[in-house]
Amino acid sequence: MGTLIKKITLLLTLILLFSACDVFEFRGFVMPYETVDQRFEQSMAWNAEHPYKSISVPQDRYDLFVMGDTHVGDTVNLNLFLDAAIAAEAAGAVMAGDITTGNDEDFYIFERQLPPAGVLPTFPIAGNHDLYFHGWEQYYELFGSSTYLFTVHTPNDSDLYICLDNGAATMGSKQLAWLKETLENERAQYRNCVLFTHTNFFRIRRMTATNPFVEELQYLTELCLRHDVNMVISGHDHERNTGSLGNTEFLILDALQDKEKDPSYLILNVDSDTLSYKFVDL
Amino acid sequence: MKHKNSIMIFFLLLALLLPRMLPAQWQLSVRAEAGAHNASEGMYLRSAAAVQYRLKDTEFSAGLQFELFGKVPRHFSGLNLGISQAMAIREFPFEVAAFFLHRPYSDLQYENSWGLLAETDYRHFHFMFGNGFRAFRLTRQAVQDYPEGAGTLIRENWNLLYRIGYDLKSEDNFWNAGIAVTNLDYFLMNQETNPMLLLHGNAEIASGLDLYAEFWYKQAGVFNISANYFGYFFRLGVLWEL
Repeated sequence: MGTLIKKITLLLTLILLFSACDVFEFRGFVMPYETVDQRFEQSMAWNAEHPYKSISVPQDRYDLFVMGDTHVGDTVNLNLFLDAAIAAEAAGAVMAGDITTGNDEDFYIFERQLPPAGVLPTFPIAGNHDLYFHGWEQYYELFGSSTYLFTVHTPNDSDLYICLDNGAATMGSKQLAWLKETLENERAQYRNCVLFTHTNFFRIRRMTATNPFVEELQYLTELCLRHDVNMVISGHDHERNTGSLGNTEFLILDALQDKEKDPSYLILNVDSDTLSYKFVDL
Repeated sequence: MKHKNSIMIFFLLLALLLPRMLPAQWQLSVRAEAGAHNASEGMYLRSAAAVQYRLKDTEFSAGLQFELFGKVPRHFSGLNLGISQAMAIREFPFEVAAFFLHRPYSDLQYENSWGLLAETDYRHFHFMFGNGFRAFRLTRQAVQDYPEGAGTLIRENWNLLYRIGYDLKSEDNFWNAGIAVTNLDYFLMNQETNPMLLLHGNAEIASGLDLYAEFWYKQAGVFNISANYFGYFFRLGVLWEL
């Protein structure tokens, strides 16, 4: 009996510690503030009022800068990333989730670092940390949609980029249906197609963070193969990795957060007939 | 075609071996399940049949799963093979087991998994731990249809498997009910961070014939601390001891 009381006391202490922590939040362990379907509907409402961005570049070759897991508060690496993207005259910068810790002030700190859209178009998506502490409210207020697409047009070709919300380790039935419909209707019109998500699809290495359920992975990998998706780029694992299945390369990003031991970001290089990438260590 | 041949060989071997093995203990199980999840595009209905053969402390098992209704574009959707050995160290009884799982979820892709397990009971509790290895692969048809593809498989290795359960009654009671948390089912090996909650019950409805029912609930992202509903299913089956 004494042992049982000790165990319950330990569990309650852990719950209290997690509840008081500004990085993890125990409530979300069992119950979300909003479902992924609700976030998707809000994203679609935002998209209806804010047309998808279409970027035109003057030559066939261009770069997209991609990073994940900045976990702002701290902004040193984030600013190095943004400065490099501006200096390289990148077509845009994608932020693959966990841009903040989910605390109110961190969203505002992050937003203040972003350059004007005329200087560098930016494309954030929400990760699991951005949903903590009811973070979606701040995310939505500052950045709007987390499920959207954007296109880049060169003099001779066009490429399709789809940003997806899987911060809760599932895209939900509505977003999956939207993705399928988008690929069915849009994919054939573009040269390349790249998906961005926060939660990485495969556990290419052993990791402690959550991935999508196997049934969702099966659905997504088949969709990628059938519709010739070139790449799926994700964050979440904090350690770079790559794998390929059929036509699709699955890339996992290092974390960019300041306290990371080996932070890096990725440059996606698009040329007339190649789509390549390189990791840039900081 | 390859799968049809496998099924035919399986049943042929079963028919040949059955008469020789009749003195040992056999179990046949037939079950149906209905459910939905975020990627199922509505409800699905499946059936499965399994056979278990126990000779002293060793048990062999094989099962097949079929899609009756749903989005999976093929009828045969799972093969499960297993072997387990009961043993004891001093007075501590446990079982070690190995399994192989083949899951053709599309015309273009399939999943092969295998794993090693150790399990034991303590009073009304059941514990199972192990490790699983998975490969997502392209079918021959996909390799032909998409010849430009660079990779034909992705592996996920060293996946912790577990089942922790509590039963209201002892195993030999004529009815039982319980609760469990696990990431392993007959034809599904989940990642360690995707546990499923299981409520189950069974009752002996005639000599050697058990009826059992299960409810499974799946919640995505519980270890992300951003949990979200993923899916559920009900299962109903009979277990016949020959």
